[in-house]
Amino acid sequence: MPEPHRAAVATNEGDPTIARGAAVRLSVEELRKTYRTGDRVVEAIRGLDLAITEPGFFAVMGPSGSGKTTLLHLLAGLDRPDGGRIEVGGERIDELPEAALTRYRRQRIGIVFQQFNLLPTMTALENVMLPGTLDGRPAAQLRARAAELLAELGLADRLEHRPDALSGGEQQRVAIARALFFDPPVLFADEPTGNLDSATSGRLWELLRRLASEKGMLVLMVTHEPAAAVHCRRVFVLRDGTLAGAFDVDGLDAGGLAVRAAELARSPA
Amino acid sequence: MGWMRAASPFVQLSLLGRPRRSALLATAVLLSSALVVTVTSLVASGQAAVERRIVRSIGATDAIVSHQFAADFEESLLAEVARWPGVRAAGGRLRSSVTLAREDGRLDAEGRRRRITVECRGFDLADAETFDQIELEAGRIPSAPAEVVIDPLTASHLEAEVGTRLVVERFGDPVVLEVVGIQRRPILGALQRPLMQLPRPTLATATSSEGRLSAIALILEPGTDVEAWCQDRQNLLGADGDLVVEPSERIRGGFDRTVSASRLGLTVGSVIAFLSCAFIVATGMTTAVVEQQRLLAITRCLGAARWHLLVGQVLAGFLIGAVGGLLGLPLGVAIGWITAAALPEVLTAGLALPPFAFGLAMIGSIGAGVLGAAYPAVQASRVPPLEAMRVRAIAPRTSRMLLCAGVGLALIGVQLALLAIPDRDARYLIYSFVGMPLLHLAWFLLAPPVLFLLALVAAGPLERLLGLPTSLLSGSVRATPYRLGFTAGALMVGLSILVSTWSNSLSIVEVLRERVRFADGFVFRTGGLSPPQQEAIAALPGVAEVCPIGYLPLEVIGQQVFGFEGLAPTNVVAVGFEPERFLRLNRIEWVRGTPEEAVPRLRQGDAVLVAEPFLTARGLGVGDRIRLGNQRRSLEFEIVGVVSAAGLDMATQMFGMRSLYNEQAISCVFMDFGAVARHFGSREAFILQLSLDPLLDEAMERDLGERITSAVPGSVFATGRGIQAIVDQVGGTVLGIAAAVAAGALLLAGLGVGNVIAAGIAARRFEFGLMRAIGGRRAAVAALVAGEGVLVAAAASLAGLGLGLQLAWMGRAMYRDLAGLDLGGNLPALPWLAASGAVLLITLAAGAPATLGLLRRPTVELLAVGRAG
Repeated sequence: MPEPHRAAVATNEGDPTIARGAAVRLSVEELRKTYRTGDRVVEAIRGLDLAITEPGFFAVMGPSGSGKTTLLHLLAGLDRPDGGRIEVGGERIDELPEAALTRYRRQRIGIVFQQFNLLPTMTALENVMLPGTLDGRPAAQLRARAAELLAELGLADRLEHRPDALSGGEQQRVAIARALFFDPPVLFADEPTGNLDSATSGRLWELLRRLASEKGMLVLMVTHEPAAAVHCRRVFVLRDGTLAGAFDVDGLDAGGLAVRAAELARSPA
Repeated sequence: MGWMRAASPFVQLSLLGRPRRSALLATAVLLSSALVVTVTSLVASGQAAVERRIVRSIGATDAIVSHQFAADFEESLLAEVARWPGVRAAGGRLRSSVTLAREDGRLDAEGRRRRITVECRGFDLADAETFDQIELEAGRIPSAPAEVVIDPLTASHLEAEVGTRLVVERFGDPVVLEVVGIQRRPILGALQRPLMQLPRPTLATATSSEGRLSAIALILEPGTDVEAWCQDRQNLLGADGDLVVEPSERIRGGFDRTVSASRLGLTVGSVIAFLSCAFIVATGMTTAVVEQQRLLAITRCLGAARWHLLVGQVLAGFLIGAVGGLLGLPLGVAIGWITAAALPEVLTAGLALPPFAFGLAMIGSIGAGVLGAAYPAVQASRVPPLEAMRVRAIAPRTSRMLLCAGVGLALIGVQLALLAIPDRDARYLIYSFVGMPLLHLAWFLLAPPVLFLLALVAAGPLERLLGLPTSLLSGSVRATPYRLGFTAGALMVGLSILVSTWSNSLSIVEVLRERVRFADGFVFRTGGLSPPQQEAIAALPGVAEVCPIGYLPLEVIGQQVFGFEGLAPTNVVAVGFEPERFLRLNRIEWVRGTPEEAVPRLRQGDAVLVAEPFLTARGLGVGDRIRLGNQRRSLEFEIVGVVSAAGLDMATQMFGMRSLYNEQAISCVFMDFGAVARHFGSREAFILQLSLDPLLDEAMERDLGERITSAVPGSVFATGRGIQAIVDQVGGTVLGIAAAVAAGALLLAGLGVGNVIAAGIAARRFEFGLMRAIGGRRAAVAALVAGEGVLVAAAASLAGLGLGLQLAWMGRAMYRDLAGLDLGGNLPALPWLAASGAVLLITLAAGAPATLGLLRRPTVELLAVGRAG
């Protein structure tokens, strides 16, 4: 499979962290985003600064309305900021034209949603192939890659199943496989376990952590669950559209993490 | 092909996301395709049957010698013509009419002797098989002088079959004939004349026309250039003679023009049918895009470009159109084949399958699919990625509704502006191919605003009637005005067809009923009524006055009609009449000129009156001069007045006068009877108008008819009352056909309605689930869906009425332009109400399956649908 991003990185194939290089980083500066709904104006992001310069599994937490989902949308190129700059993999994405932004979403990042968002008319294999299909590539190539990814995620016997024949956990794994199709350096996950039971959720968090470490990816997860965040390396806490603070997880348990996050969320600006 | 691969997920999503509804859309296209194939092939089959009859009546004939004014000539010419260089075979033909009765004197149900006046074609026994082929459904061709072949109409009237003996009613020794064959000839209704084929000498004896011929049929040596040969012979005959030599192909020329004209009409009709289909596809696919908006947004999140979604929709539309179109072809052929098998007497050449039918069906089907997909394609491509995350409903903006209404009204304005095109031919063509589709599109766009306004007025009362909470129905309509409005647009087309055709047909029938004044009676005889015969009729009790009318086929020399070269003939019919008597017996409308100025000029013999269509088509006026005659002899006449005499026109149609000349004259000129005799040598009256004793009732009129037929054998009598009844019958048939077409269109639209209503219900499952969850009864949900259906049907009814009346108005403009016929406006209220009721039933029935499915699903399932991805 052609892997456009790897052409520009270092050659230490044994360590994916080093191989990803500059692609595995993101930063935002003075980020702003405002929404208008009828007469209401909502400043969802107000001058947010944040930077991640190494691979790993990271969480974004905060109370409702803190702007965490909006941040994810902006980082993933699903929306455009009203001010500030966004850099992912060394490239400014806030200035990209429409076509380039679309290609960015397709090839340079992966997105996993809370509601799985698989296409119901396609099998698991076809859903995973979708980014490649959108790229206009031959189906034979795509099938091999998709099958490989699904096997990696323990779904080798589910290739021809449609979403309605899969459990929630299986559907989310298919969604993750789809997100990994072009082996992106960055993966965004928006409440990926919101619709899953705790056992399945635990397995999924562990999977994301493994992806980050084994593939040298930057995985950024928006979550409100401390049980999810404990699997991460570092937690960023948002409050009222700004970064309230960040801390390394470093052995904290879910309760301790929750307390820490709550303190940051409550602390004065 | 990479771009097709890239767009393929969206094709799959569009078609397989709701497979049953995709199938419904394809079925709508399928039915349209089948309809076009069926109609086109049946029309072609009818034309083939007519052509076959023409071929069989012309047969192997290469050329025909006839009198330039359709009069009889000396039989001795046959031998002379047969000796012309290049002639391989020559056969004499005689046309006349006789009155037949059964030799055994069998009576009809009213105790009258069974008798009928028939058109006769006399041929030479020796060349019966050479020139013409008479198709028989029973018996054989005559081989003896007293043997005849009759047609089914004659056989039916006389209760005759092979072996029946008939007698010709005439002055002198009776002529007894034996039926040896029944000709295969479809009974085409009230305007068809009965026919008999028999040996020429027998016919000559029966009609006292021994030594006379009506025409000589010629077969030339193989390889002869027929056109050149005819021209040479014509030159040899000289300019002053009465005979003309014409290639038999020329007789077919008028038929080819009819075929071209009918093909044009078929194409226009097909455009409208497929446009209607495109509306259905557009509404269905737009609904699907709205339903699948979340999924489409997901794909945008994953990196689908706008063009992926756009191309995907267009490809889906293409596939719907192509599949539906392809499947419709064999269905159309099957229906056509069944129809042809059921009507072998009418479609005597079997089922014709012109490639034009298949091409038109496929192009139209694919066009409908692609055109229908265009708007949803644009809509899909505009789905923003974040739509996937959005959970709140967005109300349609008022500005969009105003834009919709504005564009619709603007298109109506454009269509009206097309009427101002000065060139009539261009106006007609642009109206047919641009104006009518634009008009349909305009009303399609107006349908949502109409629904919106209707909901403002009617939703409240409907809510009370259905027991719904206040604003539930009106809010529902306001939330989805386009989906429901365009559904109404898809339904309106059938209604508009009904309204427009009934409006104009009723107007035409009204014109014929109210404006046409028939004389009390008419008498017609093939070959004309000689002065003694006219006197014999005039002397009968009950006949108050007679007025002879001559009918001569002429040509307008050096003029074009309409500018549509090849679409209309240059033939006219010259009506010879005695001005004072004619004006007394007929209701003549003087469009220009006055009788006081015109009659003296007519008496001079160098002036004519013309009918309005004549004037309209040629752009002439009073005072202009025209040349009438044929290529060999023609004279100039001055137009001294413009009149219409619709009653006379109808009477000649009824008597089949125009069958004397294979091409249909589109207009008349009126000249003095004596002038006709002086200039063109024709002294016979082809029609005698009668003024009858006002005390005669129907039974007495029938008796008079019998006496006339006895006094002048071979004559046919009809009362004005009888012609009126035929007009009503024909009018009723036209209205019936219009209703059948409209019903077909409504059923077709019903498929689209079912699709959209089902989609609408599916899209709102969460909403309905919520209603049930908070205590709404099942009946309330069903009532809401039914209420929407009622409003959609009402909007369709109003839009269909508006479109139909506008189409009718445009149609009247065309009638005025092309035929000079001024029709009044007519609102077919009862048909419209009946069709509106049908629309309501179709809408409710179309939504019933989806509604019942909805009501059967558990509430929790409906709520889960709303939460799921």
